[in-house]
Amino acid sequence: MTSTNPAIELKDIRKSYGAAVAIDGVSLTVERGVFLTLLGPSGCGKSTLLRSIGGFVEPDSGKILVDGRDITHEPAFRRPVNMVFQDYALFPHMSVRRNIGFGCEMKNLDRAAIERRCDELLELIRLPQLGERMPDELSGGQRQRVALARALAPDPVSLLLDEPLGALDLKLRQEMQNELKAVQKRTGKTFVFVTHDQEEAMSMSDLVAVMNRGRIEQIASPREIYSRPATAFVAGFIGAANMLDAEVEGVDGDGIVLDIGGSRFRLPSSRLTSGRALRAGDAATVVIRPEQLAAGGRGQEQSLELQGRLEDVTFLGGRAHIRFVTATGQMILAEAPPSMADNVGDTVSFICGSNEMVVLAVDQK
Amino acid sequence: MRYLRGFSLPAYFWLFIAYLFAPILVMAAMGLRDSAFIAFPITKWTTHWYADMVFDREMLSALVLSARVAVLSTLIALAVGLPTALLLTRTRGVMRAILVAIVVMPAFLPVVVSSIALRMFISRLGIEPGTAAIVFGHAAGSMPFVAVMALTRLDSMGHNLADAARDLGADEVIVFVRVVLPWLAPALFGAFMFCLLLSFEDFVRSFFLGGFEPTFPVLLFAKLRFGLNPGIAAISTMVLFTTMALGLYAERFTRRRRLRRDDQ
Repeated sequence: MTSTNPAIELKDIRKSYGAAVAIDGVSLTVERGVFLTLLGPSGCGKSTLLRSIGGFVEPDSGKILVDGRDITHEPAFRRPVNMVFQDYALFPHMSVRRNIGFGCEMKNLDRAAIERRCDELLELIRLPQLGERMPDELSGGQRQRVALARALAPDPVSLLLDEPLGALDLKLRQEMQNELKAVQKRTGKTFVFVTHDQEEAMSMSDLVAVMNRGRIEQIASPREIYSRPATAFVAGFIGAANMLDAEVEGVDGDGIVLDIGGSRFRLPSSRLTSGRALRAGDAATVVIRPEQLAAGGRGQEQSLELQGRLEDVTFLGGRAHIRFVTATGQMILAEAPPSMADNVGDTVSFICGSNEMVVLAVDQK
Repeated sequence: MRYLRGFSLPAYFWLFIAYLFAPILVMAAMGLRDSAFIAFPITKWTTHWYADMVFDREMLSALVLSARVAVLSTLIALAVGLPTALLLTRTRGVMRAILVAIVVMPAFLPVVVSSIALRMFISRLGIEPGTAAIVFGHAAGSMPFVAVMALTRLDSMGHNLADAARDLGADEVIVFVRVVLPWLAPALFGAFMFCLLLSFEDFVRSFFLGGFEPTFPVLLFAKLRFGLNPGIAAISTMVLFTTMALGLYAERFTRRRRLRRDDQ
């Protein structure tokens, strides 16, 4: 496969079930060899989107291209993508080897080539001795790996993984995350992975597409998604975030002047992550991660100071989570060294550098 | 209370078992009585009733007819019941409930009534009472069981299984042959055995739809009118043990496959 076409291109995909909109105009390009995760709460349309690439859901409109070829109207069995199902869907009456070889059999490969391919894949998933087992003689993790091998066997352009780790317990899940990532690295395949688990998405992916209500809210690297969320939904869905209401007082060359709870504060304009530019009078939201708040101390000019009454402290060994309420009644979550054992009710003060926070335009509804 | 549980319930159970099996044992023993009548006590023993019956042409041709009817009617029931189940599994909601009710209904109709109705119906179609009529009658009686057993199995099939095969490049025919049929196999085998026995032991349908050639149960009934003799006991015993062996084999066959999987 030396093609330079993107593995998958989606153009304005839409799908509704009656009045319920499942996918609301999604466009997306997945380059070759990328591990992309579709992340979102249940019902956000991520699974529907994945199944429409696989050919199990027909979109109402839009185009699906795989390796540059328009496959929007092709049936599932002719698409060069393979799926790993949440319940594995291994054929119960076929041995592991027959399961893995099924896709190659359908491509009419000769027996010897199929056997070779099975050996290769059994080696890849590190189960070389289990080829003759039946699926119900395998553990959950082993089944998961066989499902992965079966989907990889016909050498698809891209693998589609529909919450494949959802049925595993926590420890196995973490093991399988590493395993999946390793297999993806070794094979260089394009993976499109669906999950509602943000940690899973952050630890495995090259790119994360955060979905909400049938739309992609932001698509970026895990680091960028966390440190520069583009919407309030993304900021709230991934990690903990304090969101402060603000009003734009003015915009100059390279800065934005905000009114945050009555105090005036200037931010570099590079901290604006939402696409739309801000103008004076606009409503905005300031996002501050708990670990970006530093305890005590007078801030310099570029720092935002937040003061409030301490509500509670949760010790977590090396650090502590504290919550305090500002004069405007906003609850703020912050991380602090455990030495800061203030009494509940005390006044505490935190600062945040202007280069640590993010400002979003608030959508007018 | 503990006494009741420890002793009375098992005793009650074994009494019931004795009630079920004593007549059968008596029947088996009667076939060995060296006399023209069935009576107690047995003072002289013989195997000639058993030997006679094995070579009794009348009995043999009735048994062969019953076996033919059983196989043919079961094959028809499978050929109709399986597509019915496939259709039902794709139907949802109220429509499905209605269709299931229609399919299952023949199993709940009084057999006498449906047999008479069928006899009137086939004479309208120009089919004489006889073997063909019995075969169709039995097939109609068996079909609901095939449909329900296949449907139950289909409903327990993971809905991603067929999709997984499609995803890997299988068209609808291959999906059916390579995935759906193997999944259904145990249910179809069970339905096959069940319908064979159902047809083989049927009396009412065969009696109402039959012509001059009697099936085995009909022949036995005809013989009874001339009084019981040890020969009837002998042939009944042989048939009983044959069908029991078949049933046990079928049961063992399905259970062994299950056990092998649980072991490993």
